[in-house]
Amino acid sequence: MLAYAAGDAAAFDALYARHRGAVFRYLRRQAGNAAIAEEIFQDVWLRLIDARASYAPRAKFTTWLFTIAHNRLMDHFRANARSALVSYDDNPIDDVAADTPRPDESLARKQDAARLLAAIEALPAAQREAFLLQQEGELSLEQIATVTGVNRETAKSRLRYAMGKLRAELREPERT
Amino acid sequence: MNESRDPRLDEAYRQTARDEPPAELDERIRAAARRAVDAQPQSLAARAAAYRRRSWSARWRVPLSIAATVVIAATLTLMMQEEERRPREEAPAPATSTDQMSAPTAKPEPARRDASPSSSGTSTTSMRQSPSVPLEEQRSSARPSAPTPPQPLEKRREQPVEAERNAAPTAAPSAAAPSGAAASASDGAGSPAPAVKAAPQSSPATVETKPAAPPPAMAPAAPEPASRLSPPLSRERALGDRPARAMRESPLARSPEEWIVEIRRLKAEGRESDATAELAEFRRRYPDYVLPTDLAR
Repeated sequence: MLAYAAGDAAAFDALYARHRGAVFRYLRRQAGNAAIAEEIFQDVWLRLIDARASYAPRAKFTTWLFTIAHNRLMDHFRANARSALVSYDDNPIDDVAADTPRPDESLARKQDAARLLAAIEALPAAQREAFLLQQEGELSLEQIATVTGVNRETAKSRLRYAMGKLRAELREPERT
Repeated sequence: MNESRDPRLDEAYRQTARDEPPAELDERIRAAARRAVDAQPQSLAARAAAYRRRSWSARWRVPLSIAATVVIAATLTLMMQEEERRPREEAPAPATSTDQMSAPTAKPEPARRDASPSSSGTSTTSMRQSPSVPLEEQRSSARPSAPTPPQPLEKRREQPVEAERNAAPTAAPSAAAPSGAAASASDGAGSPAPAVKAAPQSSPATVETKPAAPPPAMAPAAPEPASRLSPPLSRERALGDRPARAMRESPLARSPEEWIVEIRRLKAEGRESDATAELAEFRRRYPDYVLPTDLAR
């Protein structure tokens, strides 16, 4: 980011390539809509571009990037009251199917992924955000707390609840 | 961190859809990033480089300017204070007669005479250039104890002195009166102040034993022995610059011997009219003085 702030356009390409997927999935899962996620995603990166001159490496870049994404997402939530259920019309599981080599394994994985994604979708927004930041951003509890603007214990509690529910969802087919 | 992670859950999440932004969105964002850099390609880098380049000059420009201003202002202030303080320091000196004795001569006087141009046509100016021998000896004996004033200041003072001499030469003889030069200017050169006439000038011998005796006009009403012993130059200095100038231009500031030497010098230079005028003035001032034979005619 410092190299890009100094005028190196190639540095931005490397930075974007490294973080684009994680930020997009975080927004995609949180916004619940691909079009909205794309709009927010673009805004996040444009904000980053505009803020390049004032960037100071006070924290991990990923933390700073996801903080921008979180704030932009909160703006969106405030402007558009999000419905409890998010439409997954463009089923992401279909996209995964093309990458999987073996049909028998892919079927089981598709089923697990579908259940997991459905469970993630069913999580409360704060717990889902904590889980997504951990998975996509590879953030620690402290960093999650920083991004979401809560203390560490709150972030830890949210994450623990989210993981418990997801584990329960993954175990349930085995019990049945 | 580890206690907050579940490997099985992580693995399961990795198997979910790995959503990616559309390619056109990627291209749009990359283009925006390039535009931002291209719009100000050198602004950031050049700003940083310029800051590094200008840092020395920009860092020192303001402090150096302030320091130079302060130095110049302080120098001018000190010079002005010095100019104002010097006459004031000299003015209170005549209040005590002990000061006159302790500071017998004024060093600036010879320096001023040395620096003064000799092109003046007035007799008083030309007389300044040939002081009498006893007075010169007395001055030279007093020089080591007298402080040497700065030369530039003397030169600065020399110009108004010369201008004053040239402007009003006739007011000089009576300028030594205590009332000042302005009051005596109306009397004219040929009418000395009454105090001058009343002053005793008995004989040349008396003058020779007291070559630096004060002129009668400057003597106090009840003259003290100490003040009589003090040389006229110290009196000049004690009275300040302006009265000193008036005394210098007045014939009363000279001893009769000095005056005679001046008259002789004028005659030797062929300036008969000046010599005759000076001699007439001398006779009027010192009617009892026995003139030398070469001037008695």
